[in-house]
Amino acid sequence: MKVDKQKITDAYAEHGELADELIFGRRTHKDRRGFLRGAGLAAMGALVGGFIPFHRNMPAGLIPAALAQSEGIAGKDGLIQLSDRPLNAETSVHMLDDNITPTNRHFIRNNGSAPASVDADNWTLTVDGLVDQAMTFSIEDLKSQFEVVTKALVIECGGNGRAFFYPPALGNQWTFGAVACSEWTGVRLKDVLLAAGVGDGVIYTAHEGADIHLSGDTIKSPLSRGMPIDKAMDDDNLIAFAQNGEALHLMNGAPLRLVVPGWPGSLSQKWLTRIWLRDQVHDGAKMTGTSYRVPNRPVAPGEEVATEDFEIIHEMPVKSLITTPANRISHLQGDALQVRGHAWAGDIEVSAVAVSIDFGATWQSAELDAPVNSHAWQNWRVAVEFPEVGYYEVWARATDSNGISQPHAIPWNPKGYLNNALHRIAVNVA
Amino acid sequence: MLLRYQVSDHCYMKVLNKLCKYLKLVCITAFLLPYTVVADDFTEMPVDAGRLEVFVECSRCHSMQIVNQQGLTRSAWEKLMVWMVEEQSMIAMDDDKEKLVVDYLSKHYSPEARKEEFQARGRLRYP
Ligand code: HEC
Repeated sequence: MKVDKQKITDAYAEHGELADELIFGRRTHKDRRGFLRGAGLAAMGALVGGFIPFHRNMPAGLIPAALAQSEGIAGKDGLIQLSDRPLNAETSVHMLDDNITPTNRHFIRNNGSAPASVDADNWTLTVDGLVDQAMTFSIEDLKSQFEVVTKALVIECGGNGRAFFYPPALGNQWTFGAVACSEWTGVRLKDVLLAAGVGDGVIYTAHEGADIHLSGDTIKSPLSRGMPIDKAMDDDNLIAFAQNGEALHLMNGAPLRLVVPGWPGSLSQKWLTRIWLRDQVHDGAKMTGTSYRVPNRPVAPGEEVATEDFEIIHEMPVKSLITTPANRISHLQGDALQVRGHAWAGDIEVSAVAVSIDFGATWQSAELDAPVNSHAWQNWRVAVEFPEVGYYEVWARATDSNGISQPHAIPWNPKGYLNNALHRIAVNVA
Repeated sequence: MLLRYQVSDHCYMKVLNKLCKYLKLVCITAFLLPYTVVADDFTEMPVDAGRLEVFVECSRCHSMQIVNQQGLTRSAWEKLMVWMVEEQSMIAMDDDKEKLVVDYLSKHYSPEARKEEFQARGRLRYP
């Protein structure tokens, strides 16, 4: 028998308990361990190459190590790969449960190929354009000349949620997992810009990285975006050299990157080599046309929109995820179900999260933590009880400090950006 | 890895096409794993006129996995061909080949052709 380890690994990454059932016909006991009435035990044994003596203890949803694909992305765990070249991979929602996203669970979005050499000791960052004094820094210079700060910051791909658009929208088909909140360490972008001196008439930044265009043309840039100078001067933008206390992961931009929370992830230039200041809106790769842009008015699904009617995306909208439990679980009636997740809202805060178990007819408030710092996501939790057995959905809805809530329906646009429709999971109560 | 950067070689792909079934069986060792990636991308493409041309032309810079995620209308594919040439340095195809390629893409990677997959994906969100 030919065993496709990658497919099995993907299935477990997406939903362990469902993979148990679909691949092996496995059901577990009430304590979510073992094999109920032996279902699936023989099938799993056949694939791992023998009987499993301690099968009664085996947790639900655990991929047998013998079947786990070891070829995955180095330093990453259980990411779902959207494309191999360039590498794009997202995290399953239930694997985003941690308050601070571990580096191995942080999504990867690449527009080109990673640079061949990422030597931190010889890396330089140039700050020029309309500045009083063009400057070049090594990473050591940055560390010694500016205050080093650590902050938990949300990075979300502008196209997160694109997979749910129909008619389909062009681009990588991200579901929920192109978002993360890791702890980033670096120096403030603002401090570095002030050191170089922001020239008169500057309205925009322009960012460049060392990644290579997919065509192999070394003069062409795969991605070069920028932001209005007001946003650039926000205290929370970092020029980061560490993630969760360690050097950056190659696929997350080692050895130096920008972290610009609250706006599309593409502003957080990876493999950062240059920031220049301009007196016009930056026109680098993926700034023009329809890239990272949405129509200047609400449009019907499938509507053709003229390119000149597109506007650059600024702040990302309010959003929340249910990270525990996973979608499609069974639950015992009479027990309260502990539901939890995260919520975030561009440059501002989330003021409330509510959940519904009756398709949005009534809502129950969740307990909501303050963010650990501005631009971090906020954790929330709530215990829900089900009045009788049957099929339920738990819906979560966040509201930002301006009183704006997540929509129920998908706000369709041609390029599939900014999908902040509310997240929901199915629960079978027995 | 070698093979992945030779995918533009027509003859090679024709041979590979024939060998695909065989390759998939023997590609279980780590040594041959990269071959499986290419072979899988190709074997997963529906058999039809233009299949090889699309595979060869569109796997030069990125893999087919960037292409096979999409479900676009003909006009969207046509626009994308222009974007790929004007903005992304793709070498323009001659008219006959471009028609063959766009025909294939808009037949097999159209909103209608992908409807079931997108609906299945939608069930992730709509349980
Ligand atoms: C010369 C190099 C090159 C060739 C050849 C090429 N592409 Fe691309 N393609 C790119 C680049 C660069 C991108 C942008 C990648 C990114 O930013 O994620 C891209 C992106 C795409 C995307 C995603 C667009 C988006 O908005 O995310 C699709 C779909 C695509 N290409 C289809 C094709 C098809 C179909 C062909 C064959 C006719 C093709 N490409 C040939 C370079 C190329």
